[in-house]
Amino acid sequence: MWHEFLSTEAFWFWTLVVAQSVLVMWFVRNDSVVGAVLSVVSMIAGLAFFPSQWESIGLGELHEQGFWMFTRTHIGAILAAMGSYLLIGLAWATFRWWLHVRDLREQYDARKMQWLAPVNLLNTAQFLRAQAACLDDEALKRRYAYWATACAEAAARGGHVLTSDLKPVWKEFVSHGYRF
Amino acid sequence: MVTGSKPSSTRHDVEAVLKPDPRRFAPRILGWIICWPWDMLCSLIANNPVQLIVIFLATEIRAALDEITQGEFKDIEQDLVIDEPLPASPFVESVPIAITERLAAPPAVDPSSTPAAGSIIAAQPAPALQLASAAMLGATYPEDPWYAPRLPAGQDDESTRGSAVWTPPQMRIFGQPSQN
Repeated sequence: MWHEFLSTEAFWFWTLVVAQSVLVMWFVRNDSVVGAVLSVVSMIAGLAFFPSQWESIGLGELHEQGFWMFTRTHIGAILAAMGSYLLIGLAWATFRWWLHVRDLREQYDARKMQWLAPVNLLNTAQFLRAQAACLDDEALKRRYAYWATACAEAAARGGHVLTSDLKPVWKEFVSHGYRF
Repeated sequence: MVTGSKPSSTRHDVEAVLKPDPRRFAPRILGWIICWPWDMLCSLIANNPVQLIVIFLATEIRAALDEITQGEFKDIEQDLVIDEPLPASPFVESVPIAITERLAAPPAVDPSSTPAAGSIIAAQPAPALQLASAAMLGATYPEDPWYAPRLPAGQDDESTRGSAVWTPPQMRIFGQPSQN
């Protein structure tokens, strides 16, 4: 039974579709456009080896007519299908961009709230004070000491609010990739 | 991840860290357009749409119920709002707590001034905790005798004030401060 199942074209056809789809998804997730496009092309090329299965994906006529005849008789439908595919892709990409930007914003908000927690502000104050003690530049030392005081005072007030005193410290933290 | 948040990035400005630029994301967006069915499938799997829908519905229902509660209890809340300010401390010229100094060096307790047996002893809190609790109580320790914790009579002096014995501040709010 297994031997019969494994020897059918349908099995290998759908195995190819699933395996290539996983590959495409992996490439898309890892921002490898070339890999993803090549995988799609190779999947389409691979499907050409299973003409008996084309009917299951709505291309039975292609099997009967042959590629060139099918293309000539259905050129309008093919172009419309390609245009629709790309239009849907464009709409999806716009939505996906919104998801991406929203995700970044959520990450930013989460990091900000984490940074503004009283315990973290106290740690930051102590870190900045330690940094100030190690510095030779007087101006920088004064700035770090001022920032340390601002962080400690914000912590004493309960934190969770980005006051104007804290903004320069937060900006410094953010501009260094969320670290000092 | 956040664009340009790598510490090794040469561009350490906030814009580069936070604002994603579509031009820099062009290959990725192209991948979304070309491979949208796979990307959509991948996004659905990764983001767990069922969970998102449940969270969305729960948030909406909670907001609606909150609005109903607010509407019904509006009058009750107005009954309980007191417009008159609470009596202020007469010690208005007290000096604010020096937060940075308190953080840097917690007050030293003189071993010779240990309270007598039987007196109420509180554990020495960490400097940060002292700071937070002082801020919550509006204390201006050690200059404000209204809020400064004291030792029993005869054992209170500047070196031990606020370090060992806790007197509930609400017991002293409307009375005269101790003169010992």
